[in-house]
Amino acid sequence: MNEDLYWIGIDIANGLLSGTMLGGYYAVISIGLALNFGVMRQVNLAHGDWLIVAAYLAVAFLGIANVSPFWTLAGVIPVMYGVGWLIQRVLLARVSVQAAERRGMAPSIGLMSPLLVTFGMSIVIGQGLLALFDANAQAIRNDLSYAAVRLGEDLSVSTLRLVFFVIAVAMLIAVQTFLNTTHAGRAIRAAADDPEVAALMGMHPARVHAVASGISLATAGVAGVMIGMSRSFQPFDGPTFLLVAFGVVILGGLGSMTGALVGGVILGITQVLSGTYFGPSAQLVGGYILILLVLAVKPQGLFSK
Amino acid sequence: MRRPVLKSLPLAVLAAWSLSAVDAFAADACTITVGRVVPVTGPLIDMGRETPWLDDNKVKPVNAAGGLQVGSQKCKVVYKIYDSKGTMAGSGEAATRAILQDKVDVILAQGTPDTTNAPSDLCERYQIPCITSDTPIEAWLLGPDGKPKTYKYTHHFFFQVPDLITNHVGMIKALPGGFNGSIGYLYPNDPDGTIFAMLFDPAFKKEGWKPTDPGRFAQGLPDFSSIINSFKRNKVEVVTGVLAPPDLQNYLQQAAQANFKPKMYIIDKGTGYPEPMKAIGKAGVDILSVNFWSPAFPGKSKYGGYDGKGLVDAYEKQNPGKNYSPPLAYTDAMYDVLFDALQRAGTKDRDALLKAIGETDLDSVVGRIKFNEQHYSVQPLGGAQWHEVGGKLVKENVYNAVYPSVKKTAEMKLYQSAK
Repeated sequence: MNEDLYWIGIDIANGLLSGTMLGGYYAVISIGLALNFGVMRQVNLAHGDWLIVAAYLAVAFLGIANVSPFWTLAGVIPVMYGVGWLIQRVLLARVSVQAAERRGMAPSIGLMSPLLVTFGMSIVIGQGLLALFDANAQAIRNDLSYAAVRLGEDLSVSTLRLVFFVIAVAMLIAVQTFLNTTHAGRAIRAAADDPEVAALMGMHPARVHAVASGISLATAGVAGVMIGMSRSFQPFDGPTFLLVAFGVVILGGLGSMTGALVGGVILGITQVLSGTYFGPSAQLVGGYILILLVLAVKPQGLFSK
Repeated sequence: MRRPVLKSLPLAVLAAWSLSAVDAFAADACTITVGRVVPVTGPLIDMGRETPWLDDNKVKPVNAAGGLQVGSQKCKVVYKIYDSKGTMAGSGEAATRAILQDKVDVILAQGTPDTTNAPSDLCERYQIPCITSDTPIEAWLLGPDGKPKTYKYTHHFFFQVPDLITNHVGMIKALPGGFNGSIGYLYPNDPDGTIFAMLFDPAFKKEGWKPTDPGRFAQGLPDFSSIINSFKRNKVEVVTGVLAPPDLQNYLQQAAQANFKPKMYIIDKGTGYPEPMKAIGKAGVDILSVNFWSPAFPGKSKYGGYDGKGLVDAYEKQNPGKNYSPPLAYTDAMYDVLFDALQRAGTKDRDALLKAIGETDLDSVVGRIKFNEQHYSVQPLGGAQWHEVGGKLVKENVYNAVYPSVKKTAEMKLYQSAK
């Protein structure tokens, strides 16, 4: 009897704790997608694949210098920022809503084309990674992935996930502070609210968007290194993470940064708890049902402005 | 005296020339084209990793010697690789191309039902001799209705499922220090997971063991903590399942974090191959799985003269930094079966060749191959455990009660008990 009670307590505590930590991991994966949508009204279908690119980049860096995996961030973040800036500037800016309007096309084309372009990009990235790295499962070796902070005999928190949670919060604060207090951040928000008026005020929406896209992929860089540290990955793993990111962004509200964290945590807790009480087969389903419920009741998401 | 010689000289030259012309023509006509259907890209790449090294290893020496002696002729062997992409559709397309477009003489296909079954069916349809392996016999033999298919043109060799069950039950019984009877399942909701659960659950229950079955879960499950807690709660000592490498890694990490350490893991799928195990790293040490091939297997290759160890040594010497994986040996044996049958048939004529393949009784690096009425040959298996030897992961054969001919290369250990 007492033992049953003990396990009931453990189940709940583990659900909340593991779920929250899982949520931090989900949030880091999703922040880039939320930012992309919030600023440019653009859905980047290649988001998941860019995460995997970042993971491979980290592997490549570690191949050159044998350092702690966290140091690879110093290389991955700038490279991913550059890539994000570049694809926005030379590729996506040509098919954006503004570009469509400039050419006298319907704005709906400007909404549709980036979807198609990023969908194609997703395929190209997968195949490109396969050609460059072959299909071997890769992993970023580290000592933390098997370590845990022990809270009791049957209750513990993954050290790595705890670190990710801290990173998620830090990243969120950093991005939010950047958007709120710096000139570039304000420009990004202005361009998001009304690109035409922003342009009239002397801003250059295309440049602003490129910066936003760069930041988005820089966060994807952090997420990619994280993914690589917690599991093995292969060239075509990207779309799975895109799905997770979509779920989180829908829950938290499209474009909301805080929403990404809270959405991630809610999704994580729901998954772990439904797995505990309805069997592991219910874990992912529980998360999807939650997303459906939120879509039905509050389609703009829980934290949408 | 000199005249006849002079007179006959041009004739002799002519005769010699015409003879060699016939020869050349004949050699051309007797070239044997082999269509190799293998996963070179896609999820099953571990099954096709050694291609084309192993093809060259087999074919080049034969061609360098002028060809294979088939009847009175020396026949060159030409192979072409068709990527199955590791999918049913991909392997079907690959075999169709080989048969209809390139008109190969024979198909050799390998690597899970996804790569062997469609080519087998197509060979039956187009009446082309076909040899397959690296798929458990039942997965190749039984049709969708669960009844054995009748193969006329395809021959298959690999291990059979009843042996696998005997092997795993035996390994658990051999658990050093005894077993408390509490066994945990990790069978996901995919074809392998469902079939393994269906086969093993009754066998374990028959032994009187008490299973903790969390049910069939989706691949890519993010959180294993509740499963691990239920294992802890029921004092599970043996955990068994079929997990794809990323899931296995995720599970092992969370088990380590929760400080859950059963005495034994028997996990199949991916665990037979060095690359996924390297990616998993230290936590993969001491995991048990079926050993469907290692150099511990008995037998010698007829065309090559080496045993399993010789083959592995040659591969690892010529491909520095790479470790062999089991399909290396099965492909080697497929070529042996083909060459041997060709020589006994004395022709590449389809019917004679088929008859000769059917009558195969040949020693190979995967043991003796002898096909039965239903066109398959049962090969041995054993119990493998990954040990760390001098900082390197080595697949040792630690259990051989089912096939004592497979040498035991190390003693079975409890899962990471020393640490």
